Amino acid sequence: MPVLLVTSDNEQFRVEKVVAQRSVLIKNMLEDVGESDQPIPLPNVTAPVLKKVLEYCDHHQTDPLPTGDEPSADESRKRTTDISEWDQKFITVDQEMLFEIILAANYLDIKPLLDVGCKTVANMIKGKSPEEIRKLFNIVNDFTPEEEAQIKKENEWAEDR
Amino acid sequence: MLQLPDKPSPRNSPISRLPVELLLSIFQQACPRVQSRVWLTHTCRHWREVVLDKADLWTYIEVPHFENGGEGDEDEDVRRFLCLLTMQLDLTGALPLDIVFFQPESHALYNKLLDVLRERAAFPRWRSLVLRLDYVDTLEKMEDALFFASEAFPNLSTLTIVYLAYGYTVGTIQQMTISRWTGTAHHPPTLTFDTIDLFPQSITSSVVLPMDNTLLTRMYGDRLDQLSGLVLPNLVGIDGEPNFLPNTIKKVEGKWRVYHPFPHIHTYRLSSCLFKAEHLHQLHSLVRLTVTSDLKIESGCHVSLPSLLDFSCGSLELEESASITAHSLQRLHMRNLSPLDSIWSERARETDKALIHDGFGLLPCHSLSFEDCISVESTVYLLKLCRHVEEVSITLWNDMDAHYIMENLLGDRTDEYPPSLIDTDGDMLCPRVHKLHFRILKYRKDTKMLEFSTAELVKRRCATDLKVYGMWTGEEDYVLLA
Repeated sequence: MPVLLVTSDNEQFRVEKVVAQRSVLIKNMLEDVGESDQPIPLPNVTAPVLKKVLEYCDHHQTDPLPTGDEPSADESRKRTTDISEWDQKFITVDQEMLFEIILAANYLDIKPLLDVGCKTVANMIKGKSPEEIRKLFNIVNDFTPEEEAQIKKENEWAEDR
Repeated sequence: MLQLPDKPSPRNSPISRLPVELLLSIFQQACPRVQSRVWLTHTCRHWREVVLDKADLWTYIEVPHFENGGEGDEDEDVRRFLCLLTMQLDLTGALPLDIVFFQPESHALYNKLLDVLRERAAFPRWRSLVLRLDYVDTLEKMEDALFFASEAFPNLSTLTIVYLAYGYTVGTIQQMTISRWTGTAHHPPTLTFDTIDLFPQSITSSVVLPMDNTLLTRMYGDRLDQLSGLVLPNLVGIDGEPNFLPNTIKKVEGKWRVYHPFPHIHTYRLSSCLFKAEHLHQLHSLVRLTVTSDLKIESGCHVSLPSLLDFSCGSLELEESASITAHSLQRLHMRNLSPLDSIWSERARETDKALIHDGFGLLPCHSLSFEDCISVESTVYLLKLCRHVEEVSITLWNDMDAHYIMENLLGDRTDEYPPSLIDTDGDMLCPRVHKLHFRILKYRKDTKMLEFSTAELVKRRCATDLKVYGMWTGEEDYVLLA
């Protein structure tokens, strides 16, 4: 049975239950309301982002769901920054969309998608200097002169990345 | 009205929307090493607060292996390490610590390190310790090792000692350590004690040492991903290399050299390295690879190092239909192996061949450095391929070689070596280079020619503000040529 999802900008998405249930949040909501035609509001997700998220859920609809009681497997997944080829292509989006996907995955509780997003950002950061990171993410250097002096000192012994 | 571009500010940076717990998760994946976490704190105030406030990001302490023994108060590496150590001890408050400790050769340094830890009452916080004694030359240090098995460490729950198999010490540490605790009130009830004897006496040249993932996991456990680099026990018995293998053993194949069992290690420093076709060679985590001696990639083997930024090696051999690529590479350093390894040696010839091999994909975008190890023709070929490189440093046999390279940089010479180069002829060599260093090893044949071509090159490349430096044998520093 299809499920109706409503985004923050009032767009409606009709998707298969098996796809929607990749989100633990939606799965729990569906379990709470039981069989119902009621649309599910997603006030924290916009239509373009949900479209992207559903593309991911659709592709991974047959993957086993993470059970949450596999700490060692989860740990090892967390540590490695490998991303599968499909996921890599999927996540090749502009930064605005990338962070929106991460936030949506966090809100909707889709762990594997959250992992892919975080790994992608981790790979972007890896091996870069603070200046390169600032440039990459448009982050302002807002240190006070006193903090700058301290950082300069730390730089003398933290040269090696 | 003119639309001005957005100024960077914390508000219009999309990453700033992430909650702290997600930022931390990303930081842990991007920067498993303590050193790189320090760099994160230099990005902006918010990141600094987030990273410094998370005390358990700093509980892993690695007392590194100081290559020169860490002798003397002026040792820069020691000074840096002590700053980091102090910072970590301060940030972690009362949290338990996991330590990897390379016993220093120098007693003075050993005492100094212990003093810093003692001053900050850190000993009772030690939860686990990997004690590396396999780099210690003299066995007196075993006495020091026993200190770690004393009542000063009441909360130590895992003690792993890695040591060499000198016949008369096998088992001694274990027995002495256990006897130290037996019958005392301080005996830690949960202590897991493990000694790892790397080199059984029975070793012969045909034995493949059991240095694999299992053994390293046994040594470091969960902390393996936090090591600053993988300092592996030296298993190679190459002549002249300081090592502890019996002289009769000339070559030992350690399994760890064949593949990369650590998906999260950033830095490898190896003596020699062999990639075989049957193993997976997508090494995503590797940022630095230093091979001080030979790197060989066997036929049919394709090595991909997508995160690699720095690569340095002595000699390189690429067999037929093999390849090595690193698309993010910033720095390539081909080092001279030894004074005996001139460009006519077998290893140098293999390296020369590898650099013009179709499978060679180590083209840096920032700097290129050659010590006198390859021919000028191959050097020019590589300069043609490295179109984005900004700094070039070349050590050459004589200034005629330098002049030859200059002519190519000037575009006044069109060589047809190797033939595949013809396609790129006509393009300017290294159009972005703004710093060029020549080191001339032997003769000073015709300085004028080089001076002339240097001046001409600088004139033609005024748009990039090119500076050319030179250093001749006997001189101590580079001088600005033009």
